[in-house]
Amino acid sequence: MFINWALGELNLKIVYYGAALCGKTTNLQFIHARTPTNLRGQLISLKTREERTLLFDFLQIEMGKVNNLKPKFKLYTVPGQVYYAASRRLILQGTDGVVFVVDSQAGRLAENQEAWYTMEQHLIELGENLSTFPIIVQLNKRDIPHVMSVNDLKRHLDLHNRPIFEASALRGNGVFDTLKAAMNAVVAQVRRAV
Amino acid sequence: MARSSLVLSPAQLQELRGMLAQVAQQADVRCAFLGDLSGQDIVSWSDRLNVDMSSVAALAAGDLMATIEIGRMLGGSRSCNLVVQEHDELTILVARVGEALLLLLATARDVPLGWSRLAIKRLTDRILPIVGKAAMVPPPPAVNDDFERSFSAQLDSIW
Repeated sequence: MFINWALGELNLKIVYYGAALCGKTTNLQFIHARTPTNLRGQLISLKTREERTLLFDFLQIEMGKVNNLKPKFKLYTVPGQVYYAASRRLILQGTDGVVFVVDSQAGRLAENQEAWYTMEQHLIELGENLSTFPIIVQLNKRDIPHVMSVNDLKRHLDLHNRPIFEASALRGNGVFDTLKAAMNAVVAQVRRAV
Repeated sequence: MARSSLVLSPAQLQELRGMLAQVAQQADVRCAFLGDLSGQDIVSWSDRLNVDMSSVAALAAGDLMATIEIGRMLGGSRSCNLVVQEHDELTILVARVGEALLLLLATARDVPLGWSRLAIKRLTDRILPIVGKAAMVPPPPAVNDDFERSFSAQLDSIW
């Protein structure tokens, strides 16, 4: 969080975290495509030649003034592939909230569990309190066949105390519900913190 | 650094901006920028109007953090403090300021690297006391219940 009183800005950071190919970048692409141009910046993507996220994607969303303070959200994704663990930790630094994107396909459970575990580990290393830190869970790819049930995913990932949203980022279903929940949770956390 | 929670007053920001503008008068500086390592843009000066400083902030922080991490993984005992990019038309230096901030200075190619390094060192010495003091100042209670409600209502009106 950075409050710029000269410009009346409240700058907040939200990171989309999850296993490889779970749909983090797709979320940001949809948000970029469907947000009025006066409220968003350009979508910056650092990708490999295979179109996989190398370091991060970045998108800034700017709101109108609320009580004389203009909230600005910096949305990041992390690279999902296992060997980019160091990059993921760097990008989590200074974040005010996380959207954890779950790939709902049954065959991806182990990768989801691994990603959840490492995210928690990184947040603890960065000094965050997991019981109060805003983590919103998005169960993505709900539109494709052979996905796990919501209850099974909750049980296997131990998600019972987290806000959960079903989504299909490719179609846009649930993308903004997730984003709005994350933004509200981060603002609520900031209010408690200051 | 656990969480970036910097709160700067208008006077402090004005002072920081003034420092960057002052450096720009001393040499052919194209852009001077102060941000933090989590990617927040704090204050900047540029000779161009159309620079997307939010994206510059995110990329510069990612660049410097990645360089620091490479050094750490290869056994570097001292945190990297400087990344230099030499282009045909300009030179860009990204330097770490204290533990959590970064300073970017882009100059014309003919500005000596030594001058830029000295400018960064002097700016760093002046920036740290200001930012250090800022961290001690509690913010006004602007983010209250009413803010939370109004913010949520505005979100619903956008999407």
